[in-house]
Amino acid sequence: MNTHHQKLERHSVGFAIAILLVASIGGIVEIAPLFTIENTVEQVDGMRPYTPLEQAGRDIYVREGCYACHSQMIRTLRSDVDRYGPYSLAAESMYDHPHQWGSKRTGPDLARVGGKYSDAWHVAHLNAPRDLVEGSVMPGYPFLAATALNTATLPAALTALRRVGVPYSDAQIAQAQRDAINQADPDAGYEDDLIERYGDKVQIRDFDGDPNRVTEMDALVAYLQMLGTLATLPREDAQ
Amino acid sequence: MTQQATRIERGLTAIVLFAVLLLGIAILGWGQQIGYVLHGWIIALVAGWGLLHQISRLSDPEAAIPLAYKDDVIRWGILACFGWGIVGFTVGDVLAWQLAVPALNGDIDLTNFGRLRPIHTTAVIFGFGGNALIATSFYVVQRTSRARLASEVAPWIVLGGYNLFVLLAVTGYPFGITQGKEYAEPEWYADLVLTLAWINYLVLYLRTLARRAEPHIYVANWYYLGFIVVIAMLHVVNNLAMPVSITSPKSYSLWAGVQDAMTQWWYGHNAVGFLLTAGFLGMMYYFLPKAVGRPIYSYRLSIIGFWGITFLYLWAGSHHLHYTALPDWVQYLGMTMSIVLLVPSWGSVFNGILTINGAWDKVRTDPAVRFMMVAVLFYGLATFEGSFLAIRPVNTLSHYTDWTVGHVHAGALGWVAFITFGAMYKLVPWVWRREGIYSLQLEAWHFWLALTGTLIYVGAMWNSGITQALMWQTYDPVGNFVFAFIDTVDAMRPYYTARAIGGFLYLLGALIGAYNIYMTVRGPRLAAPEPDRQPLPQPQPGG
Amino acid sequence: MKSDIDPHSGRPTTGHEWDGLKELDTPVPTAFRIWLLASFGVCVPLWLLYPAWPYVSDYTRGFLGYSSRDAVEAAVADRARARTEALGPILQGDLETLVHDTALKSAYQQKFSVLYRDNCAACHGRDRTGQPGFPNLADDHWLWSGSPEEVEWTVLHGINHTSDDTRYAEMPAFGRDEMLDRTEINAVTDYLLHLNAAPHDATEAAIGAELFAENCSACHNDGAVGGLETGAPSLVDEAWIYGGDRASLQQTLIHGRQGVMPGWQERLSPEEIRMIVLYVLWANNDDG
Ligand code: HEC
Ligand code: HEC
Ligand code: HEC
Ligand code: HEM
Ligand code: HEM
Ligand SMILES: [Ca+2]
Ligand SMILES: [Ca+2]
Ligand SMILES: [Cu+2]
Repeated sequence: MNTHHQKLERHSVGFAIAILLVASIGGIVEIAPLFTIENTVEQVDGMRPYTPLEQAGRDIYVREGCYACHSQMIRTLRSDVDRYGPYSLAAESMYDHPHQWGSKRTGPDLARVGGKYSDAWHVAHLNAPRDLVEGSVMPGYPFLAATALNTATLPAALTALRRVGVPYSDAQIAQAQRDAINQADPDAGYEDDLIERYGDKVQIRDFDGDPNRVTEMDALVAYLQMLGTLATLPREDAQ
Repeated sequence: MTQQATRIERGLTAIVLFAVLLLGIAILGWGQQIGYVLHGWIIALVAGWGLLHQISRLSDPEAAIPLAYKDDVIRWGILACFGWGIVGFTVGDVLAWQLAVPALNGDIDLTNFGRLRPIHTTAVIFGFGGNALIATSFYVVQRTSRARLASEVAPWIVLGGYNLFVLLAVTGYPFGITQGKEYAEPEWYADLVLTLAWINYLVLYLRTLARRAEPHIYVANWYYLGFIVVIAMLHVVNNLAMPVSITSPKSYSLWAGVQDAMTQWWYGHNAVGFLLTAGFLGMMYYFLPKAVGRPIYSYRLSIIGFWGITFLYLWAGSHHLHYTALPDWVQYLGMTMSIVLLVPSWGSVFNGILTINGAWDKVRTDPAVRFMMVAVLFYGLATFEGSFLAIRPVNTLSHYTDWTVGHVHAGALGWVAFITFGAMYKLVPWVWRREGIYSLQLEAWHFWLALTGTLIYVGAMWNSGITQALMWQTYDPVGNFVFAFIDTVDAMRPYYTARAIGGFLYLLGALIGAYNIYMTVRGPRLAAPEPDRQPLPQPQPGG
Repeated sequence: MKSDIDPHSGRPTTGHEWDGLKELDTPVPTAFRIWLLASFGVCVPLWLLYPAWPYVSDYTRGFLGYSSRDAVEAAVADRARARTEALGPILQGDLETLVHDTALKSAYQQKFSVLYRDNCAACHGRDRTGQPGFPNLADDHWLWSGSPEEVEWTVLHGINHTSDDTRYAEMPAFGRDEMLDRTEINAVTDYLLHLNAAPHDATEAAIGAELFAENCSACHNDGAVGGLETGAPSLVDEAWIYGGDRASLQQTLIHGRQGVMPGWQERLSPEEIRMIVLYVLWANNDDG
């Protein structure tokens, strides 16, 4: 073995190629089958691409780095399931580019936080967490409610997402901006359009409590209120 | 011949710089967000300046590559390393205080915890660690090959491009420019800059090795080469993404959900394995034996250690995803390979520690050796802990808690930074041609502050992590939880404060170190010529 | 290559030298080799027992037939069963009786508080006393009936929530929807301040009293004592949800209010809801 190695040590390019070969095996064996083994991502009813408003909210979630403190992945552990609800399925993040499973729970898991609180609570909490939750170490995000949502880039965003595999239709892309604005406006009489494009679980409300504007707060709260509400879980079927 | 090669290289470099300049101009022209436009300017200015420089030299009569070591670029690398180090440690301590005293977030966008945290991780891992590796690798490859770096231009492109990448990364986060993938947060255009710099690095390294006057490649270079090759592979695969448009910095990862998670942690774990481990082992294999004046304990152990790590690390990434929606089979593969991984890891520990045999007195007399010895011990500790945490039932406790953060910093503070400091205290006088370090006493102060800081930090996080985990999982006999989530947040606060104090001591030590380096550089030049300065042998073509 | 002997260890070197660095040709210690083999030795049985190796369309399942998901489902079901066995008998029966069972209260108050704090404290506060926008649950002033069964219903289905059986209650936006003009709203405000013995303009309050009778009593009842069937709170009990100062009152009257209380039926089991309800109601009785 030593003598073979002595030979290898004399060829820099050969050595580099050997490294590349040896190092690529693990990744190939562990990652490639995730695309070919079918039950890796379960068949689950209810999963749909995010509405433009939810996707905008998700972009804000990513931008603010909420994943630094919050996981979105309920593990197959009793104490996770008891505290946060049914364990997360792979299908539930199938449209997540990138995933936000997280690696730290300074705050609670958010995978199923949708519907747990009211919009008003989220708005107040995001504005000033410690006003509502004594002892919270979460930063405040009052600037979200003060910033109008930029919807101009949404069609391009949905197009980019379609290119990486999210099945947005032409209509969904074409209407992205209107869909976003009207999801935050219950008085727009636009429900049928949204339901037609995104199904009847889409939540249409003024999320931030300011009916006159669509803000980043609207988008982020719309995203949070959707989390965990889409997939029909096996446990729900059983009930 | 060489002359022509250099000219071709200058031409090629000019073309690449021109392409980067165009990218910068496109961004600053079409960009619609302040941080992004700022990035356009930075890219354009750096590339434009480099381009002018290249063009002005294009017609220069070019001498053959000189037969002396090229050390100027190393000096800049060391400065960059310390600069980013101070930034990274400071932001780390700010983060630590933010968790202890949340009002410090300021409740504004630019300074909140989520935006600052990647500044810390990027500045310490890529800024501090990466520059330390580039600088030392340039030094080591030249000395152990008895050859000058194979290019006059490429080393600057590597160092400049790399630091441009780090700069784009950390200045982007406060503006919310991030891909949201841990340790790979920089957006597509910064990723592109790194890709270009990295290809240059690989080619330069291979070309320099090809010029070597030694028949064999020294073990330190195996590790540096491993680091360069594997990081290239990881970086490209994990960062594949679709930009939204040239008007915004945003892009969406090519991968989604479970595949994205696995790719990300394949990358993340091996950023640990090949940046924070392999690269620094390369550093250890040169500077430790050099400092103690002893031969490496066992060549055969080096071989097992190197190939063991190179093969096994890439399987272990899934231990970051135990009990998640990642299929069980990947979790078990990752767990088992992580257990085996301990063996080659400790192979390097033995090789390092046993190399000191015969020179243990130096541990007492030379703080730099002390730094390196403690570094190797912490490396042993972190890898043992890592393999332990990779066991699924253990991970039920540690995952999502501060225990992970404690493990990270045992490795980061104790191993990565300690070996760097030890090596730098040796390297700085060598490359600046000084008698020795300005003050051994300050060096010792640095050592003790860093050690105390690390122990407080890691101790606090072990306590908080395990407390947190147990609180999350404690049931009463009837089957109800005993603690609410918010109880665990309350329980963490004292530990957060302790950690922030430990971090402050660590930072203080680093500042003293930086001062010591600064004074060394300002000190008088060495009078006597050294063997280092003898003309190098004429390189022979070959492998 | 000529290898020399290292004087300290007496071992030969490999014969190479780089910048003064040499390597000893020390053999790999046997113990180390054994350890390496033993580590793989640990892996092999694990690979055989558990899911481990992939092939193109499937993976080896392992002889134990283990699956994390099956395991956790079993564990959760076990726990649920155990808890039902332990607490079911205790929690069954008439809520009213349970509320006044002081032994039960002292034994379980602390235990049941955890569920409350994980789910309710964010709105109603750690000590159940509420905060602006979220009612106090510890003060014996109720929006809805206040009988234990009704409280349980509220917790199950929520108020203004999306569930089918939710309670519905809305304070109309008298100002925004132009049911009252500014002067009228001022008058009603003075009337409310008068009822609460706060500084006010007496003539305005008198006008306000009439307006109140026309517009508000339907929900808030005569004398503003509240309607426990409509969810309209008493306005004379000092237990304000949104605030009893002039500015808050005007805000309420102009923009209306529709506080949302989530329903917990889908998130918590009937037992868990019972535990929480008891914990809430125990805040109101001081029998123990
Ligand atoms: C510094 C860490 C930190 C950051 C960053 C952070 N949070 Fe939190 N978060 C917490 C903590 C701690 C709690 C628990 C206490 C509380 O409810 O405030 C929490 C609670 C929450 C909750 C309530 C969850 C529940 O089930 O009770 C939501 C929702 C939430 N955060 C959303 C966010 C969003 C969205 C962001 C980013 C814009 C964010 N957080 C950023 C620490 C953080
Ligand atoms: C998102 C915030 C929120 C959460 C979480 C929440 N509540 Fe409420 N709750 C409210 C609001 C708001 C009201 C008042 C609704 C109204 O104004 O009409 C309310 C009302 C109530 C009432 C009726 C009070 C009365 O006077 O009749 C009860 C009882 C109650 N909550 C109990 C609970 C319990 C128990 C939990 C946890 C399982 C809980 N709440 C969680 C917001 C919340
Ligand atoms: C359709 C029924 C209805 C009518 C009519 C109505 N209210 Fe209300 N009112 C409510 C309900 C329901 C609430 C509780 C809303 C909540 O908690 O979100 C409420 C809340 C209030 C509050 C806030 C109490 C607090 O604790 O902060 C005030 C003040 C009030 N009403 C005054 C009035 C006055 C004055 C009028 C007439 C001008 C009026 N209401 C007419 C149903 C009504
Ligand atoms: C044998 C070697 C090692 C193994 C098997 C190992 C294993 C692990 C495991 C199991 C985790 C926890 C994952 C989780 O639960 O989220 C982890 C996290 C981590 N380790 Fe190690 N580790 C090793 C060595 C090191 C070293 C030397 C460092 C150097 C700094 C390091 C840096 C990290 C980092 C940065 C993380 C945090 C990742 C995150 O953000 O979640 N590890 N490691
Ligand atoms: C003064 C010294 C340092 C201090 C005070 C410090 C502090 C911190 C803090 C507060 C966090 C966030 C933890 C959390 O989210 O709960 C963190 C994360 C991290 N730090 Fe440091 N740090 C220091 C030095 C370093 C160094 C030298 C490195 C690497 C070389 C490093 C690498 C990391 C990594 C990888 C993480 C992410 C951990 C994870 O996600 O699990 N840190 N640090
Ligand atoms: Ca709005
Ligand atoms: Ca990236
Ligand atoms: Cu790892």
